[in-house]
Amino acid sequence: MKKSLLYLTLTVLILFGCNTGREITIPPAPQIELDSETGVYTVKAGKTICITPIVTYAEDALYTWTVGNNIVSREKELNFTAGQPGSVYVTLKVTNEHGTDSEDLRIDVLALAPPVISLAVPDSGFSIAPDSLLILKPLISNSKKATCLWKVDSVAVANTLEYVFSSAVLGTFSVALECENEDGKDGISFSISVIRPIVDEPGEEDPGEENPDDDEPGDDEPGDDEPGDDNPGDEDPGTEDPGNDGPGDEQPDYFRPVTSSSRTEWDIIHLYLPAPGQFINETVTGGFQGENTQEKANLYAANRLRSGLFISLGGFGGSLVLGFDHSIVNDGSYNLEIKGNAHKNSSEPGIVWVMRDENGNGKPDDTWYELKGSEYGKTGTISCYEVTYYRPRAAGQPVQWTDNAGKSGTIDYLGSFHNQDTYYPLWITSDSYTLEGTGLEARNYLSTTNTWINPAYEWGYADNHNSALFRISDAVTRSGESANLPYIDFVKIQTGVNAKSGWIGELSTEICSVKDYNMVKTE
Amino acid sequence: MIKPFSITAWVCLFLCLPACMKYGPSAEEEFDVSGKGLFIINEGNFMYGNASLSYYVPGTGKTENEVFLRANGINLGDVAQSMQLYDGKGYIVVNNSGVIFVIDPVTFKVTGTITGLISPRYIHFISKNKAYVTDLYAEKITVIDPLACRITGNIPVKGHPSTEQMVRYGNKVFVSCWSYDNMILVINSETDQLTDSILVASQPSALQIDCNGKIWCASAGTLYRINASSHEIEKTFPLSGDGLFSRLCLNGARDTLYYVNKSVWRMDVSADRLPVKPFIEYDRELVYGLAVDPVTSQVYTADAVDYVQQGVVYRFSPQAVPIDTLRTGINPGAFCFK
Repeated sequence: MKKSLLYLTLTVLILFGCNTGREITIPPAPQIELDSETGVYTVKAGKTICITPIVTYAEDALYTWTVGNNIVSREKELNFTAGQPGSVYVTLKVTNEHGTDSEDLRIDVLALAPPVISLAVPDSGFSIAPDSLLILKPLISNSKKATCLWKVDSVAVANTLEYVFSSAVLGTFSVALECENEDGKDGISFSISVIRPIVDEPGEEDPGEENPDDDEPGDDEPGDDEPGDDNPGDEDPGTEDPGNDGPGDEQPDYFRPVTSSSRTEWDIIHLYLPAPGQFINETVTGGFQGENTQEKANLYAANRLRSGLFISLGGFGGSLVLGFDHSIVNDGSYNLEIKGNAHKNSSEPGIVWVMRDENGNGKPDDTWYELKGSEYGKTGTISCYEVTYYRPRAAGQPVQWTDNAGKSGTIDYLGSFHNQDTYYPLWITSDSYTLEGTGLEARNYLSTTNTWINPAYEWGYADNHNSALFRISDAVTRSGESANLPYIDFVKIQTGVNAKSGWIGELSTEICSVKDYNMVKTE
Repeated sequence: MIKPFSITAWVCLFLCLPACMKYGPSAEEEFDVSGKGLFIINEGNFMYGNASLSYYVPGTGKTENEVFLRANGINLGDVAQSMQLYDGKGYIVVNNSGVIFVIDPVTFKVTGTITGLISPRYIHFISKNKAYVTDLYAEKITVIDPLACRITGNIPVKGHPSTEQMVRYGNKVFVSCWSYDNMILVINSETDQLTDSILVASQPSALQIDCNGKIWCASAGTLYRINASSHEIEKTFPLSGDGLFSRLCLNGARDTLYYVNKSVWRMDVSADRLPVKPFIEYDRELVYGLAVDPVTSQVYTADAVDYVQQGVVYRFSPQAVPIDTLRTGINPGAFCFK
């Protein structure tokens, strides 16, 4: 602009410099003033925006609006219909015979923001007793200007964000919620069964059989052993040294001694099944590449660990199961080394479980034994703690969970740090999945200096500051007795806390390496 | 809690250096790199003591990592924050070790150390015998004699425990007060007295002064242009949404400003609005460091990757065409051109 004015003035001076005594008016070049102070316009996808700059000295001027190398308009105004969300860079040039002015501008196309309803509904709907209250409290994003309508058996009952259902009448009711704003609408429907509660027979305290294996989607291994409390094959294993002697005499023993080709590190990833979390599916620091099957997820975990990079187990219950190419002997001292990324004030403890390949099939389908740590047996520690995670119904949403203690919450979506579409593992095909394990009491808190502190536990947990070594002799049965395992073949590490620390997000165990410490000791 | 130990540890280490270095396990390497080059200051991880110094000669494609350790046989320390060259010496401020190392920029050998600092961040030279050092946890700016490597005094800045970057205009030094603060302090560099303060939005960090005597200050989501002689805020450039200004740089002529707001942006210092199009577009990666070569106007961006592995530095032509990729130490955050 300034330059062209200068040239113009110079030209005029040269041309008419001697023409004294005559009055000259110099027609100036055009001057553009955008109708946006920042030069940035926003429009929602699919909508049209009209950009109307004020151009002075624009008589007989030519307008060109270009995007990239394409001229999109020669009009005085630009009518722009937005396509996909993103930024479009536009240049406006206005030229007349006296010069040219040009301005860059940007049109930010925003995604539509229709409401998205999230409600943790059990697979077969809700079941309640007559006259009891069921508080339905869905998470609704973009709910600010939305109108909502609840219907029970097609009859409108409320237009609030929450609804309390109750019925004196027995039966199954179909409940629907629909929310709408100017960008679109969303709806869910589910059933509520009002049934008479079954009165427990006295003395039947322990409900059903317990299954210590996780509900692992995609892991439909046939012939899962019925895991008893104690394994009869494990009588007095401590009296033998499996490193020298052969197998026991009663049961076949599949002990695999260390050979010259044995690896100190784990050999096979059997199952990588994280809970939802900020690093799950994340491409930048998490290093995921759209893994959408369990096999690919296992391979991801293997490649990450082989490269010395961390893998995250996500929130509570997320786990990694791996095997060694030899059996790891219980010598009463430390036998396993598991490294995470804990440091002072940042511990995200994982429970370590071990398994002996009792049936010798090379698969982790026998009994898991927990390695007790400092929290074992304490009142705040819950065994058989179950958390169910629900797939978000749209991108950028938190993951809802419910637990078997009647609590619910979310794994928060932290878009400014980890903006992958979803924190729910892409390879989990079901819309919800349940993880079971031992839950530790959370210790995290917000300090007076406004930083989140995740303190360490005393001993016995993975990704816990200053504790990376584990003893097989700490293995306990479900009933709390010492498991007396002579050796183990498989290791499982599982996030042990269901908690979150503000903007840092959920507590999730991270694993960097898993080694046979017996071999490290002799190296 | 750990800091006093660290300082003591460093002092002890240095007291015994001349005595034990000959027999120490780390062999000292001889460097002789005269001519132009770029120091890359790698923060390392907080409390890990793994800060390091990299050296790169533009155009060679070769980066020498860990040059401080290799030349001196000792580690740089915990969280290397910044580096300045002055009068033929390099001053590396190691934040959480509470020390400033003085090195020969040709051999990388330590020629002096300045200790007794709490949590130093940046150094600004007033003269051969006077420099200011800002601090993250001390309500004072420390005055040092860089030649003698000793503290000569301090300027109390009550109520401002976190002083950060500095720029000078005549005999006035402007200091940003960063952590949970909202001020720019003005100090008379002749009298070492606090003379004025400028109120800005929350947490001002980066400061630059352009060829027109205008101070540019990045303060969270707002960029300020401040008149250095009148101390008046002439213009504010707010970002929309959750945008955040992080790094600020000027070219050699100090007429073009570069900043990071997710992407790298470039604007003329006379512009009256922010550019609409990024200079180097970044979508997901976080730009952890930014530098502009004062002579060639080539641009360097640093990527800390996952804050654990070695970082990466990218070099771009003055027109933002990628030229080179360098592997550095952990968390490359600052640069210093030689």
